[in-house]
Amino acid sequence: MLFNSIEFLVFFPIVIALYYAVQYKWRWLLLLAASYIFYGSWKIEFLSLIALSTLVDFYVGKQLYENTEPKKRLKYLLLSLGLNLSLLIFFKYGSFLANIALPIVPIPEWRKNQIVSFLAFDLPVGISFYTFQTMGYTIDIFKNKIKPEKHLGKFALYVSYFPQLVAGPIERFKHLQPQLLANNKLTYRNLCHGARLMLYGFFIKMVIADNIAPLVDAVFESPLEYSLVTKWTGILGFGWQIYADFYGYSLIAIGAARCMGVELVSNFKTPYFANSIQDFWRRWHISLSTWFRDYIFVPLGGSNVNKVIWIRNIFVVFILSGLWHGANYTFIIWGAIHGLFYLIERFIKVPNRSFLKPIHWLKTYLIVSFAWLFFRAKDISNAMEVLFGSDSLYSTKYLDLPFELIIGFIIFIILEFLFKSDSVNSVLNRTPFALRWGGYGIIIFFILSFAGTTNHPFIYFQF
Amino acid sequence: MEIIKNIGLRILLLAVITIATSAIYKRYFYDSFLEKEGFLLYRLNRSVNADYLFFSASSDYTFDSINDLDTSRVSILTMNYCAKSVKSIAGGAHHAGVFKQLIKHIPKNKIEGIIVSFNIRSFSPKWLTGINENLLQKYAALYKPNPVLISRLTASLKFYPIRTQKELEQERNTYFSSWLLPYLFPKNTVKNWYSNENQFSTNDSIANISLEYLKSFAFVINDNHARTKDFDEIIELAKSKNLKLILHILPENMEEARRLIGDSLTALIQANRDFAIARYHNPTANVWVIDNLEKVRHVDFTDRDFPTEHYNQNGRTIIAKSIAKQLNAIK
Repeated sequence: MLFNSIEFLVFFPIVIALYYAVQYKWRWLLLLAASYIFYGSWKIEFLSLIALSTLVDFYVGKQLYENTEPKKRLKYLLLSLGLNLSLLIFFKYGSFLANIALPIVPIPEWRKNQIVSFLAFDLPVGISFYTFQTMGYTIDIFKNKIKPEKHLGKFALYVSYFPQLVAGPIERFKHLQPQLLANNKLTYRNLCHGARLMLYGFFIKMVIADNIAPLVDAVFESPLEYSLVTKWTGILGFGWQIYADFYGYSLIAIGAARCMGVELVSNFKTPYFANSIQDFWRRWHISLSTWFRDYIFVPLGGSNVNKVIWIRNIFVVFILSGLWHGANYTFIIWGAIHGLFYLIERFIKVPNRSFLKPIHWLKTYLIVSFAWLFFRAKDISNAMEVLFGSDSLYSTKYLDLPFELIIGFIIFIILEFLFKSDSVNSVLNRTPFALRWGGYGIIIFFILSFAGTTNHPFIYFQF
Repeated sequence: MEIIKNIGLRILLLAVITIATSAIYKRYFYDSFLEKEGFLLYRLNRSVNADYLFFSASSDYTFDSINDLDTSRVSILTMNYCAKSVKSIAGGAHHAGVFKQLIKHIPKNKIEGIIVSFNIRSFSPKWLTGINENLLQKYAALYKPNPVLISRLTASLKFYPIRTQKELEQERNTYFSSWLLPYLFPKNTVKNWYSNENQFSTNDSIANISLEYLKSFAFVINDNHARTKDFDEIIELAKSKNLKLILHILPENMEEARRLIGDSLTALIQANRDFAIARYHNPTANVWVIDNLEKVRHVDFTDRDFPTEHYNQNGRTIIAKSIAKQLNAIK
């Protein structure tokens, strides 16, 4: 069930109504059932994976808490990490790894084909998100940072809470679980703030991302037909497409949770205003970057190590972050570009004077956009074709930018400026009623009249 | 109480915004949206001044503009041989599932009738699970006679069946292995039939095209077939709108089917043709089925690598003449 679907528009109000109608003690069960219906609507078989991950991590959490012997605790932790990483590797990277390994494995060709076709299944939606969330849970118990959940059903709710299940934000147990189990009261403030975020999320997903998508697809599908300028329009366009797509999803998720009185962590803070790569990663997919910081970078020694180890740590984190997105060399290159420029920025200190700010911003924006090229390309040769495939500056084939996209995009940029230093709800709370509702009217008009119609599910669902 | 008042007021405001949006959209933006994304409905809305509307797929156009002296569509050529005005509502790979939604938009008593291509191949598992099917389902949803804003929302919220490439492939393979044909093993299913490759050719290109013909035509139409239901609905719609209905069975390359696979395949195609005639031909109810199945020769088909209903000028003229003959015969 996609957020931008009729099914969700029916499902969500029913869940909200029931949530406030049922007795507090049954709310966890209602939310768990709703979450399993939400997730099972993709493929009922996928539920078995999330249930397996839930069962094992619940058991491991309990054992970690009850055992004090370090060796035993480590064994349990490895069980949790092993299971979650195995699921991830098998479903996400199986086909990729097979394609690397099979050419050198001495088995008959028909057997290789059999293995390749066996591994060519649909990736379970959101597997990278919930496995990371549950691994965070067991690691935190291992480090004695949190106590485990004692109730299996309530733990299952933490793993599967539907607003953030398939594409985050990746939530920490300590932050999410108390809110899920709190006796949240129906308040106008929560409903209103949640609905605002959802409305804005729908706008940027359906009007901005879904209208940019066909233009970007055209450039990446046949790059040789376009001039260099048009291809760069496509590359820059993808940067905005993925941002609007993922930010839109995150806003809807945060808004949906907010309607139930739950505050999910913020995932984006106007990332294209970043002045450096480091700054970009403080603003982009925050829940994932902090996950990598806390569970990979810091355990590797973080910054309190010698320079060589530190450089290694930076690269490990960025390349793993690339790989997290998918099994393709292009994602590794994307991560490596970010890692490389992150290091360059750290080694070459340029004065941060105010008159230099536009240059820092432009440099960051161009590096991030260049890296998106690899992220979007289906393989390296496709990326090379987009970069170098045509020497014509004056190709006759142009991208036809629809006027509704141009107007919608201008509105989006204005709102980005407005929300740069304050949250959506804070800005709207300060806005006079008539102006605010005038704004809602425009946003609703754009959603109803100009939402994209080509079939582009949320990009991050595939991760 | 306060919360209900607050929410009630906002719902009212939202309703006003939605109504205003609907009016503005319909007045200023709907037509340009249709022109871009729902071109057949756009064309239909501008064609209801004709005598007949001609619903078809790419079989209407030329695919040999170099050799054809006259590149006119079948629908245009038809007018050379009868006194009726015919306007084309044709889009590549479109089928009865889309046509039926379009026909719902024809105002009552505005035109005399409709001509609908009956493409036997559009009943095949290959077409039902083809790469275009998601797009065609979107068109079908978009063309449903809903209020314009609802219609647009069904497209933007993707409220129509969408299957992934893998799902389509899986479904297709299930058809090929489970749809029973009226023959003994190995010709009892498409899968068994083509697994027995010896009877095709050692030449790869001939074997490939043979396989294409088999996958495209080896099936049996019945009452429960999704496409049969689409045509049943078209019959009912025509009746309810007082429209005369001509179903013309598109010519297939029977010579090639016979040469590549043999009579066991052509017999299936003919049986499907007979099914259509027996089920739908009913002049007293203003429904005529024209049988053009075997009227066009191999030389008049433009594609050689796979089965299509793409004809050269001569092929299109043959079809146009037969339709015109029927139109002239209708009183």
